[in-house]
Amino acid sequence: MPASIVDQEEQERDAPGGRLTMVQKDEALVARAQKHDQQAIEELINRYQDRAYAIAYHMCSGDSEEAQDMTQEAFLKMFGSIGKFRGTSSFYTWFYRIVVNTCLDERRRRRRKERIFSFRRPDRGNDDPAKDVFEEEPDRRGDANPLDVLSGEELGREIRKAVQSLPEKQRTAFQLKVFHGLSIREIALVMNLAEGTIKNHLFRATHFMQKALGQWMTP
Amino acid sequence: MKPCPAFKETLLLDIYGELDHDHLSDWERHLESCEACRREKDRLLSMLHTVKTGLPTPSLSFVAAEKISGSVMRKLVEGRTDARWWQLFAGQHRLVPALATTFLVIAVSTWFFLREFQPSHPFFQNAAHITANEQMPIDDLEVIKNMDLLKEMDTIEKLVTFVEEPEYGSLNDYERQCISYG
Ligand SMILES: [Zn+2]
Repeated sequence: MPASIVDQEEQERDAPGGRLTMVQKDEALVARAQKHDQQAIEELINRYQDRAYAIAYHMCSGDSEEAQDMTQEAFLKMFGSIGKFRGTSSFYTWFYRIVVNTCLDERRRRRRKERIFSFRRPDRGNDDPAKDVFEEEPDRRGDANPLDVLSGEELGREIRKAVQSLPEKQRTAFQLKVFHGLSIREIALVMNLAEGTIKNHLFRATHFMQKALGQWMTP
Repeated sequence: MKPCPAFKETLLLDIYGELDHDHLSDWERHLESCEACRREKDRLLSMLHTVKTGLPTPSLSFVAAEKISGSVMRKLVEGRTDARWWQLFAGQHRLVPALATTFLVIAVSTWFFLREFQPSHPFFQNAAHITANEQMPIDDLEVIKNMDLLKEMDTIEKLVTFVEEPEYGSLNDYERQCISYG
């Protein structure tokens, strides 16, 4: 699991000999990338591809292949418009916004496509959409006994189903907070919404998740 | 037992680690005395932990990371090459009016040319003439081609007439006298 932005910033600041913060390093790299410096471009990719992939992975319902495609597309979009980046916000919130929007666009596109073609395969309605992608989940079974494994898979499926049934903005805010450790301020910048609105989305999502996963919680 | 509505937001900010320092001490004091809020906080933290551990984020494999960075770099280079070509063309923006005028002149000329596509035009008249010649009746052509032959035949006919002249034939009186007295 990638470290949160704040964690990494602290790590870089505390690193031996490391004087620049993460944001300052980004600024320097972005300035060079705007002049088509290949090394800076490569460094930005290496620096952000894990986190971009992590965001895309959760937004793409755990589909690893799709998440990789989205990561690649987000990088291309970002470098395509890096000349327009003026640094009014930090680079990572700007880039994460591109990642989030790329995934949301793809999700909407798929939804539209599914809606158009749904009449052709009505029997698909009973299938669990989370089932296929769940099978690609990393193995977290360890040495657990079969009953625990079944319970773990079932739990994972229930969690994914609950997350996916959240409205788009609540889901995005919740995912950015819980899986990626972004602060409410950062989420507001990524989603281009007011902090109060993000709080609202986050709190609603939290209550929904608590109700949806109630049976899995220890009493 | 329900948590206190007055601390609803504080509770949620706390579980997300977003509660500022000023409110933290008040909240902690309240938690010490309020079991409902304490239990709700534990429940929510447990739920968040379950969500995080239930859906772990896999890290990008080395191969996948290399694939993404390689592909992005390649496409960026390709894109920049395409952009350079486009800029090369776009840089010649001063030539655009000249090119547009040329195309316009060609288009107008073609239009006038097609409009004049009528047999009355001298060019088409010649063409029409040739066509008429080509369409001349075959019999007439044969006559022209055999004109020499007809002339030869005429000569032969005259010779035959002369040779086969009967004794009192076509010779006129003068000629006959010449023969008689000659
Ligand atoms: Zn209370």
